[in-house]
Amino acid sequence: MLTNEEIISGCIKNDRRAQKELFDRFGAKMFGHCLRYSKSNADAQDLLQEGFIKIFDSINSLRETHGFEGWMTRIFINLALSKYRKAKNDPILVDIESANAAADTEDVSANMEELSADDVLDLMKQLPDKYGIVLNMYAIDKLSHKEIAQLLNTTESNSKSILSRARKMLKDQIENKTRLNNFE
Amino acid sequence: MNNKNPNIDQQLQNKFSEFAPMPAAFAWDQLDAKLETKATKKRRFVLFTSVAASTIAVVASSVFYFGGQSNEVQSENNKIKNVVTQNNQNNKIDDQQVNKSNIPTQIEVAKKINNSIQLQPSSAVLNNSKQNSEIIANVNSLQNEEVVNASNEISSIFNHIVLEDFNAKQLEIFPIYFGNLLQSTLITLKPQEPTKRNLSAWAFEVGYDQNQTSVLYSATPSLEKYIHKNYLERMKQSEFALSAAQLHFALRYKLSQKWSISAGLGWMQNRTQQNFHFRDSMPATLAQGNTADAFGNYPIFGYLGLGPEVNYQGISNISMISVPVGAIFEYPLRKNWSITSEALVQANYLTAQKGNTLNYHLLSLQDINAGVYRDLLWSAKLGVGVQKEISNRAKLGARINTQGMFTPLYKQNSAVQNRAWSVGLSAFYVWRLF
Repeated sequence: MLTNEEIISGCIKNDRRAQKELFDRFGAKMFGHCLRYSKSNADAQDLLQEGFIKIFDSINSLRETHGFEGWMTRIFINLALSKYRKAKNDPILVDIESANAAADTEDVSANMEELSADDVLDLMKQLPDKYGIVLNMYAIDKLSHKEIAQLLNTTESNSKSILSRARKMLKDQIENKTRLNNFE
Repeated sequence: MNNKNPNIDQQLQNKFSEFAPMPAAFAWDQLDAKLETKATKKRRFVLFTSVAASTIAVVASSVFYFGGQSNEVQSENNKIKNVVTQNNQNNKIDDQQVNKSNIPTQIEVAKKINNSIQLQPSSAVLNNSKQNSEIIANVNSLQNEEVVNASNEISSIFNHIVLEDFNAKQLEIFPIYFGNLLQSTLITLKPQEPTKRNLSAWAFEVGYDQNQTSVLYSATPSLEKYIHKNYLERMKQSEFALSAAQLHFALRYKLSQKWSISAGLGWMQNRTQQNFHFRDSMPATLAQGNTADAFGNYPIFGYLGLGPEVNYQGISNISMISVPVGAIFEYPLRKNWSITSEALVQANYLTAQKGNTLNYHLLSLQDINAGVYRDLLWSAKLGVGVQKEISNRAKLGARINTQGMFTPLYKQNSAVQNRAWSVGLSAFYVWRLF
């Protein structure tokens, strides 16, 4: 089994075997990031591919191998943000299935422990785009408000305000969802 | 990091710390295909660059070689064949200098040769010279001693008397011996080329461009909803081999030593090859109450999940007749080399469009619809390079050029508005007219 260093070294040489090994090893984890930052599964698939192409293109600029996974995660987050910025003026691009599912979640109480990651993800996707992104960056990816503000071209106080509202909305949605589950 | 609500944040982090859903089974295959396309593009770019660099090298070497060869041959001929080559305009013999030599004998010899070859009056010779590259005469009446004794001076006297009088550029004398006895002397007179002063300000140019093209995909702002969310990106990613070739003829008019204007006619062909290999969401469109765009598409209001796998190869060709008009600047260097640049505006009339490309609403390959293209496309061309004056009348050169379209390819009511630009190499030949 190849070590991370060997894989990186192979990817620098454009060795397709090493690239596949990298994809096999980190693909699922990175796809998780993609799903969290995308509105739909198809968008996440696109983001996954673009991210890996970007990684293969810029892997020779990687200085240290020990923060490799973090470096890859950051590439995916940056790509997702750049897509978000581009799509701000685009038409509404929500999955019809997701939209329908959202319409079905009404007036139920909640507890996050009872929900699967997929369920929570579905609920997070129903938040306004900016809310979901800030919540993802702060709560899960551990970025500071300063970093978030820079990446989203906004202020730290705005980032804090969005986060606060996002938490509240998600909490309400989780409560609603668990209430519905218990009722069923 | 000031986390005011650790509970929900912590719960989210725990929930997603091990979140690693498997991507679709075809994800690696798609990525592999994209990487392969990218690698092929890179290889093609390297190949194109190498071919362009080699072409520049060949053109430059040819110009250098052919430009320098005449001097070498001339020098060699002087040594071996007793050849005299002098420019009539630049090397007029000073009468005083001639008088200082043994004039009667030399003039006698010259006259004898002159009479023996029975050359025509100068205007007639000049006219004949246009059709015949050289005049050859056998001089049988000369004696050995006369040629040998006067060999050093004949050339200058010939230059003075014969070359100038008969508008010839070059004289070659071949003494033909039989043993030690001179049998005859073969004299060759080559017609003098018109000097620059005799040439007109008009010149004819023929040129060929071979360019690598790229397409800038964009959407009409008011019709963005008509385009699949991934359309622009997929089209860009699919580009496989794009090229443009142009052959043109032009007339140039010299305004000054450095500036000329030019107008011409050209034929251009743009070829686009695309490799589509992906799987994407199917768009849901709404026809009711909406107007179709030039492609016959309606606005997209959502996506229905993943559609079928797309794995097509598209190829399309667009031909145009171009009318390039513009200015040319030439900055002389040394040894007949000069830097040359051009700025042209081109009116391009589309004459043929055929091939196929992806229909992004149906996710299928379909023939391109000639009706969606504009008839007239405006473009600009900038070039810079070097040229060599290979004779008084001819120049050969090469330029690196870049071209871009002002006008989008498709009609105004199309949601997609693509423009092409390209970079490549031009080779050209210019012939000054009388």
